[in-house]
Amino acid sequence: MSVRLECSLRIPLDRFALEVDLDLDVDTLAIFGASGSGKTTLIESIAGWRHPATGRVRVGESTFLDTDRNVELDPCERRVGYVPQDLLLFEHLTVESNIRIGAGRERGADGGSRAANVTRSAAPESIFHRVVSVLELGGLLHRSVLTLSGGERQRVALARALCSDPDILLLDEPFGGVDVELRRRILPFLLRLRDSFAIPLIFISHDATEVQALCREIVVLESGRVIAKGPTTATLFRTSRQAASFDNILCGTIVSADGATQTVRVDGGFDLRVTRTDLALGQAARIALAADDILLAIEPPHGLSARNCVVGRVAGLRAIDRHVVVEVSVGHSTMFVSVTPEAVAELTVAAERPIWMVFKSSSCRALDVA
Amino acid sequence: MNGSLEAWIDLLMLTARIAIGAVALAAVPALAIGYLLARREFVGKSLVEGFVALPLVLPPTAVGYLLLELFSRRGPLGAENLGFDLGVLLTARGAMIATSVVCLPLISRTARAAFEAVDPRLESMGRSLGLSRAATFLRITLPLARRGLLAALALGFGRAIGEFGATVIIAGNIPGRTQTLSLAIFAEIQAGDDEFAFQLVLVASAIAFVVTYWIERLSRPASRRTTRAGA
Repeated sequence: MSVRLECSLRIPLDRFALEVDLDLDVDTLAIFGASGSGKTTLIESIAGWRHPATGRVRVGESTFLDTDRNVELDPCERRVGYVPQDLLLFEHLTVESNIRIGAGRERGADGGSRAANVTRSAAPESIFHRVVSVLELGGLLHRSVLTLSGGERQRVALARALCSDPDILLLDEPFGGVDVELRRRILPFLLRLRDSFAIPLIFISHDATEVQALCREIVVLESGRVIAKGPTTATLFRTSRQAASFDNILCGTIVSADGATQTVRVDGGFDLRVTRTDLALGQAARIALAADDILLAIEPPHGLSARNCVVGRVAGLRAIDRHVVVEVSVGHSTMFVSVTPEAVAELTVAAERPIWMVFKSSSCRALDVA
Repeated sequence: MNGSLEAWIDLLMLTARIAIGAVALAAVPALAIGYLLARREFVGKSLVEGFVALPLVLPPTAVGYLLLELFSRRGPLGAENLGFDLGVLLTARGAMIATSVVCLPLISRTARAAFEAVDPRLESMGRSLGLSRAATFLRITLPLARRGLLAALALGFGRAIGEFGATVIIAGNIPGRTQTLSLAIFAEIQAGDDEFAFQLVLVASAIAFVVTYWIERLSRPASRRTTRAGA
């Protein structure tokens, strides 16, 4: 489910001015960039928390801001589900009261012409129950938010935003300031949320893996300006400056299991052996595989302990940060492999040549949970 | 005043009545002013700030004098102007008004700090979740500032118990009618009854201790209590 976002803003900041002109259909959009590039300012201007010097923001049929025409929609009229980095849970309320505080707001007469979403016209009570079950909050409802762990707080903040029946969800660094273990636990919830509530989503991040796993499109910000936008993986490949942060996100279905591994049939048409997950046969699986963890061979390799050997064709090469990222087409999908420039030279890796990718089943991380 | 139990009860009841009445009278405007100063920018804000702080630094006797001018027979709110008598001078009502004027700046300053301690982003969050301004104030700001606001009222109450200067000018020092604890101490010292004055001082100290203890408890951050409860 997508919504049209038109956003043209000029906001003077300390070191630079945020100057953004965007007009795109948002389904799952990442705003990507280093910290201090203006991402939060942009998203808070959409939510109406900042007052830009000049600008225009339209979401769907609704004009949030038009400084030329002196229009500024009140934040409570914008139907934006904003989850800021500091979450801003209401500490004087229980988990349930937090989640319900925005529930049950009326849809105006013009509501029908606004961006459509799945929660539309559902009774607040049924939205509440769905949100609580998807985010697994049933056991926490009567707790004080002061007693929650970091991951639980994240989920409560997400649930609260969803229950206010928003037209668009804005998530600011849901993984910011949490450890790797916690990240791994939050990502599945976000994937599940994206898939079960078809709400357009704008997601701020500086982590390429999460962005690739969650978002179809990406806008890259640098010092307040949009330096690139487009489909996530291709855009990251064009603009990334860190080869190490490159991950392959492969979507597929669990087709068989034996002993310590499971086999995932990737949508592109090849099979992956992954370390056994708690996912059942037939379940969808998203697998992250770091570009660093893949070896390349120009001939079919033999006698390997690694469980995966996938043949593809070199589609392109790009030097990033003292590495070379090799773009490999396999069936309908594209994979990225990061190697040293010396390796590229010695192996005479070149476009259109067949190439074998070798990687261990333990390098494949499942992003979903059962 | 004589030292009978009845006289003691009357004195304390009257003192409590005037102090509570004064705080009740000052509470709504003081909290409103505190909120406006904490959250809104408007033309003449520093003027309002100065005006609110005035009774804090002005000698209470000066406040009493100004109130006397206001409520005297020929004053702007006097009987001649209004056509009827508000019954302020030399009455408990007058003592209440004088005390509330003296308490108001203290309450509103403390309330302002309490409102300022609430992260405005929490209010923005309430607004984004669809709450109106009023609902955001009632369901988010007020409960979060609750402890600080109670401390503000307790501070006002403490100040009200000790009020002397403005009260004595507006309401006089009439035993049984306008004589509060602090006025009674003055009267007994004037009358040379040091022993009785000392007893009054002891009672005043006890009240002051209870009030400060309460304020201290309220001013403590809530999280610390939670940790202790959890430990």
